Amino acid sequence: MNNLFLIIRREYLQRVRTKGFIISTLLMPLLFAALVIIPIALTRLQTGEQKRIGVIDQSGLIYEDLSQSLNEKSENGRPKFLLTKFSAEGDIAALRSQLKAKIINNQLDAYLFIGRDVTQKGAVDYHSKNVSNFMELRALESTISAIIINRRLSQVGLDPVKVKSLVRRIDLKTIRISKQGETEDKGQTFAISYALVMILYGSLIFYGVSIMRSVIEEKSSRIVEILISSVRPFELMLGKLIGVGAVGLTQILIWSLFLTLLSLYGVAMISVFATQSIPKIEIPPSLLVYFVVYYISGYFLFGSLYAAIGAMVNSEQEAQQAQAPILSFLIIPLVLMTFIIRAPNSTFSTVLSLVPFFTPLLMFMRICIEPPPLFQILGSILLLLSTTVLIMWLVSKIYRVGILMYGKKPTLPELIKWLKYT
Amino acid sequence: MTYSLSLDRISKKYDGLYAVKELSLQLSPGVIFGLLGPNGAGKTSTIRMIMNITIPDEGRIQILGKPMNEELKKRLGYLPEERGLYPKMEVAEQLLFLAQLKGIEQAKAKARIDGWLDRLELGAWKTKKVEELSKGMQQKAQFIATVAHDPDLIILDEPFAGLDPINVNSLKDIILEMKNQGKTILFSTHRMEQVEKLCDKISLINRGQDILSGDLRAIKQQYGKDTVMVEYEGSLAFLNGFAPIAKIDDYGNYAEIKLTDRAHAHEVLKKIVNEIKVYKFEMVEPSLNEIFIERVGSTHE
Repeated sequence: MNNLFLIIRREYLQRVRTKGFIISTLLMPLLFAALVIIPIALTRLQTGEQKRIGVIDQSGLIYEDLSQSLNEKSENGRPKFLLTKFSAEGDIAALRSQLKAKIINNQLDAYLFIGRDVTQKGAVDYHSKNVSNFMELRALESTISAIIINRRLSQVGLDPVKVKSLVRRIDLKTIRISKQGETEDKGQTFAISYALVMILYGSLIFYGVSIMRSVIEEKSSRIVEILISSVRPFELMLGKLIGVGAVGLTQILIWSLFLTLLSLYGVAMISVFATQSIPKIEIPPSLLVYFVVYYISGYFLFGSLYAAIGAMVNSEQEAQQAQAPILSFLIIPLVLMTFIIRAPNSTFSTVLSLVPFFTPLLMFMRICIEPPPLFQILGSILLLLSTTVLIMWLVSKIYRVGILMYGKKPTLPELIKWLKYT
Repeated sequence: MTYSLSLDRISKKYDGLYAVKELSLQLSPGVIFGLLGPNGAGKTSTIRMIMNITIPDEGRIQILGKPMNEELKKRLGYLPEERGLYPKMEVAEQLLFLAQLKGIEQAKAKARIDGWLDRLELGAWKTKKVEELSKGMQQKAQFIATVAHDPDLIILDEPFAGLDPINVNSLKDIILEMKNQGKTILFSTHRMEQVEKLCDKISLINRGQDILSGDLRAIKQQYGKDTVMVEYEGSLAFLNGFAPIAKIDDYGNYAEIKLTDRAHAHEVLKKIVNEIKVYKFEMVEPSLNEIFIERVGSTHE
């Protein structure tokens, strides 16, 4: 028992103290922070630049309204768009080439051509060196559209304000029913499920590979003989699994702390700007419990498989090939994710999610989307736990022999012989 | 009396070939035992079985009177042939970890490790990572890992390999010191001069089998004083075919001459003083090297 503790402590401290761990643990939240904070900060930080737009208004109906409504959108007292009217009388072609030259010489940023029959055909063209600024173009387009629509409505004798209130679109609210009650859902269930599944997937692979690496390291540095002369191989394996697992939990804990702080900031910032109400992001506590259960049992299942691979091979190159079957157990659920989302309770989804090697990811996905019957959940946990125990028992035997074997990679019959070896 | 270590006719086969065959030995406390043999004789296989790393196919191993168990592991010190420590861990921290695994409490282990590090002149390297140490220093650190928990039975697989003469000497002193504390030391080697200086008992094994074992003194006496040690200047070629001589091991300015009978020593001396300069002429027991070559050579044929 004491030895187990010593091994866990060594694994934990040796890892947590590495530069790699500190950097990845701190850098990740900073990256997230950058992704959240920078766009928010950028929207507040307007470019002070003015857009100089020349307007040729053949219809003579649009310019006044346009300059008025665009000026309304000005910021810091300076209008964002500086409109200049050019007379639509005379040679249009000559005027166009004159404006084109101005744009090329940077005396103007763009020009708008509004046709004579704009209220009928609705054709307006925008000429500029840069036509990729969608945000601005969209604003321009909708402003002009609104002006033209109002014109048309007035022409047929309708009150634009009245019409606007009459054609108002409906707002389809999605409300998720669960035993806990009803909550409005604007896609946050999907987002959270996706994030949690990705965390599961990522850390099962990442920490599995860490375990494998550390077994290979002990094997190739030959310290394993010394360790085995002091402790039981099973203690060594279990200590490694728990130690590395604790490192993983530490990292996830730190990250979620950062993320909570960050999302609080993010929500606070968004609510300043957003006109819509922000959906409340709530993770049901039961979901977190399931996450922990599947995370831990999945971790021990895949961790011990990775430990077995580490014990069987002599180098990382060999390990790359040998880990392919394990990896496929983790990748298949991701490939199936879109299908599971569409049909979480189909026979296919149900059966596959009960296969222990898929359970951690698939059953958790299903719980996120539409909770399956409780007996399925409990059954999957029971199956997963008993498989994990069985696999750990088998792996400890392979591990016992494998860590002291050097040379050739074992064949399947040899592996079976190892299992019989005590 | 309980033996510190007792092997009772142990055998181990790999792929149908015996690595060790019906090997027996008994070690009493306070004995330094040399396990000798050419490369591939089965020394490391035997040691790995003693350490319970592999298990003999047949036979019984008892350590301090009992079959191996977890508690006994704490009273054993083991220096494996393939040296190994965690490359990225600091020296003192690593030694502390290994000593704690052997059941020594932290404060006590720390004090002992500091003592050892100073004694082996590694004090300045305490907080360095193992990979930053030279090969020789790593060896010394590994030796500390073997003895820091004050084991009763110490198993050293090729302990002198890769050490310079100064470190060989200090290691030899430590081994003798431990013997005087009543500890039992078993080491394997194929370097006979170390064995001659250190061992009380030996076992010479070849192809997994014991071909000569017992008290070192008794073995040498059994081989008798029919060997002459000569220090000279010149060439001994003229002795070829000289009847009283059974065998010559010529090292250039030093030779071991085995006689057919010790009574012929006088004739040999007369013959060589007439031909070359002789600085030393002495009747001796055969060196272990001689015995080793003779015994292993004869089984090789």
